[in-house]
Formats: sequence, structure tokens, C-alpha cells
Amino acid sequence: MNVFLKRLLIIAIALAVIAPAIYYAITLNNANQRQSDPLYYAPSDTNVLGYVNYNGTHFYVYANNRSYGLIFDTSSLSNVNFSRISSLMHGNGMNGSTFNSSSNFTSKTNISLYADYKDYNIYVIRNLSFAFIGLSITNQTLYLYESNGFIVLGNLNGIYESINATLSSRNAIGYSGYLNSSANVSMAVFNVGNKIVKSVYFNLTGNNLTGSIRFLNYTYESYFLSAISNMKGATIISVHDFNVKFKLDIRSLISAYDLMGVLNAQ
Amino acid sequence: MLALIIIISGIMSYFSFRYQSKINTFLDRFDSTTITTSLKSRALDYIWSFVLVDIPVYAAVFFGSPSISSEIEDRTAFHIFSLPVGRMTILSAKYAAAYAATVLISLIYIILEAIITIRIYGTIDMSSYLLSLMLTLIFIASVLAFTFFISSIFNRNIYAYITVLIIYFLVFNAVDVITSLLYSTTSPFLLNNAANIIMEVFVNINLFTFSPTISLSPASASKIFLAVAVMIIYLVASLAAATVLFENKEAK
Repeated sequence: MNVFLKRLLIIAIALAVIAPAIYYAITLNNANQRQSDPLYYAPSDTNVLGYVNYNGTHFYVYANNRSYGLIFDTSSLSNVNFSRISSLMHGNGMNGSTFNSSSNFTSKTNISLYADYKDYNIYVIRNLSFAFIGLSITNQTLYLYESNGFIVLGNLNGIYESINATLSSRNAIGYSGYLNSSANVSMAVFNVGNKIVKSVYFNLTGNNLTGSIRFLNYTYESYFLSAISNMKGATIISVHDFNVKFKLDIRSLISAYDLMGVLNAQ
Repeated sequence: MLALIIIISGIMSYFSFRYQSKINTFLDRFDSTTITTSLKSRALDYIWSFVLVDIPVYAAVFFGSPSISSEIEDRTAFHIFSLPVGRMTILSAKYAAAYAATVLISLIYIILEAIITIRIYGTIDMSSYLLSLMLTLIFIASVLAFTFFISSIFNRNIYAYITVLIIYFLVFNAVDVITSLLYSTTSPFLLNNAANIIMEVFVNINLFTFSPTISLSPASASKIFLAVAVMIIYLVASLAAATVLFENKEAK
């Protein structure tokens, strides 16, 4: 056979195998990348979606009127090591010292296998008490499951909905644009079904809060504009129809809260 | 190479018996209902596979790198190229021989892994073990094809040896470090990362990144298929390139 033809044949056969293999590999990699997105584990019909980055520990939150959950990425837990992970999954109890001082887990917490749901092991945590960012939860029963390096913690409905979301691809990845992961706290509230607001988005970085609220009518919008324009440290960025964008120094909120406390005490 | 693999297997066997209690101590910290003997045996196999992923690389360099370049360097090409046998036949025979030798060397280690696991835990997760074995065989084929490709470029053995080792252990790892730093993920398209699937079918722990992922479950099917696809791409591309270069090789 002609040498040139031989070379051509070898290259053609190689390309015939490599091209579909590359396409297949890229497709699989994209699917795996989607599974590496924390919002892959949040259901699409969620009303509240949030991202919290506090002292290096960050997680996502999802909630609707019947379910809620927190999504932790084991690879993004600050100073990840086996003792931290194992303490989370500890059979006899959690030790507060393994987490940072802002999150205090009681030593009586215990985790046990609750159910096997669609090939996922769901664990139950009984008597969970902890404090995080000023929020104190005592003697709660929460559920969790682990998938692909992510731990989803929430109520039972929240866990079922999260698992169903991953299996049916009805997840919240499409909402990722609403959250800003460079902020300390980023929150999106939408489709709430009340008569005042349609959606609320805000990002908190340090003491600076920037937000956007979409009202359902001019009455509540005017109330809000009136309130915020009289608030110290608050600036209205723009007003378009029912949509108001604003900026706020949360220290002014704290001082206003203190003032109300003093007035209330008097 | 045989002596080396016997020494490595001996060391691993000693460590398995000496420190197997450490696996129990580590896993006992997790929920007791999920810690089965099968999981413990998978954890031990994960540690054995941690070493296994590098054995085919050294064996392939040992058996594959001199396969083409040595013919030129030792001037045996004058005899071989003048034979009435097609270059492709010569290359396939060399590849088959190197593959058989590499598989044989790796099998010594893999079989000992199973014996030690059964000896310690009385059981072995056979499906994970066989899957890991199949993936090892595919990985050997791809890493050997890669060494053949490098060997077909050079006319001196030493260049082929060094280049394969530099690319695999230095270039691939450098790319890996950069992607880990920039994107917090390991690139699945590098052969060394695809090879990690050999151990991740036991326990899905990836420690080769700045943000390690930890799961006691085996790697998912999509991750396995991705690794196999990457290995096949390296295998076919390297073999095709080696064949084209070998067809043009001249005896000097």
C-alpha cells in the first residue's frame, strides 16, 4: 500500500475513534461539573435561595413553604481535614472545638441511619442544638444525606426534594446568577406569593448591603421609599417602575434597632 | 522490575498487617451503622491502589520506552527493518509483548492485594476489585501506548525514559497544580488524573487537589466512564502517532 495512503488510513481510523471519545468525555465532564455545583442539590421550586460565607465556612440555603435545607461542600469547608469531616459524621457526638467558635454543637448530638431513599442513605440527627451567626437552634431533629462530596442538611421534606431534584434535573442551577458568591451573605427571595413584593435580592459584604426589591404595587413601593430615604446610611440607587435598588450600611440598622430597644424599654 | 514489585508488595503486605487497626480506628469515628467489613476492605484496597496507580507507569517506562528507540541506538534496526515483515506488524508485536510484561508485573501486586485483604477482613468487595482490575488493564494499555509514542520520537533510550517520566510526573502534575489553583478542580483530561479512578472505585476520595473531596461511597458511573474515555483517547492517539512515526523511522 502507498505509504501516504497508509498514513492517511491510520489517522482516519484514529480520528474516527478519538472524535466521538472526546465528545463523550466532554459531555460527561460537563455533567460531572453540574454535579459539582452546590445548587444542583437545591430543588427548582425553591422560594428562598441563599449563600452564606461566614468565617471561611460557606454553604447554600434553600427553602420553600414546606421544606428547607443547607448545602455544605466538603471541599470548601475551611481547613478541611478528616477530623472535621469525621466529627460531622461522628457516631457518638460532635465536638464543638472542631468547628469554629461561632458554631457550637452540643455533645449529645447523635447521627444514625434513617432510611434508604432512591439509593441515597438518609441520616437523622436528633437533639441538634447549635448557634450560628446569632441564630440559636435547640433540640432539633434534622436529616442529612451525602452525595458527590456535598452534604445536604435539612428537614425531611427538604432532603426528599433535594434528592428528587438531583435525579430529575429539576434543580436550582438556573438561579445561580441571582447569588453573588463573593459576598458574605447573598440572598434571593422570589415567587413568594404575597401581596407586597414579587422578589427580593440582596448581597451583604462587610457592613455594606446592596439590595433590589420588586414590589407588586406603587403603594408599598412608596412606603418603602419613604422609609429608606429617611434612614441614616441608606442610599437609593435607582427606581424603575416597581423595582427599587438601594444601598445600606447595616451599622445604621443596628443603631436603629438599639434605638428601638431603648425606646421600648422606656 | 520483578524484584522491585516483590519488594513493594512485601512492604505493602507488612504495612497492611502492622497498621490495619488504624483503618478500623479511623472508620469507627463514623456512624457505626454504615461501617461494614466490606467498607473496611474497600478502604484497605484504596490504600493498595494508591501505590498501584504508579506501578504501570514505571513498568511501561521500563518495557515500553526502549522498544523503538533502542533499535536505532543499538543498531539492531538494520536487521529488523530489512526483514520482510511490515512495520505495523513489528510495532504490534512489540506492543503486545510490552503489554503482557506490564500486566504480569502489575498482576503480582493486584493478586497479593486481594490475598492480603481477604486474609485480614475475611472478605473482599469483588465487584469493586474486578472493576479496579479492568480499569488497571485499560490504564496499562494507554500509558504503554504513550511510552511507545515518545519512544518513536527519539533515537536514544535515555531521552525516551526521561521524557516519559518528566511528562507524566512533572508536566501533568504542573498542569494539575495550575488548574487546581485557578479553578479549584483537577483536570479530568490528564492521564494521571484519569488513573486515579483505579482507587476511587473503592472509596471516592480525591486528595490530589487543593480542595479535597471526601466520600465513603465508590466513584459514580459517570466518573468511571469519563476516566475510561480519557484513557481510550490517549491510547488511540498515542498508538496512531507511534505507528506513523515508526513507519518513517530510518536505521542509522
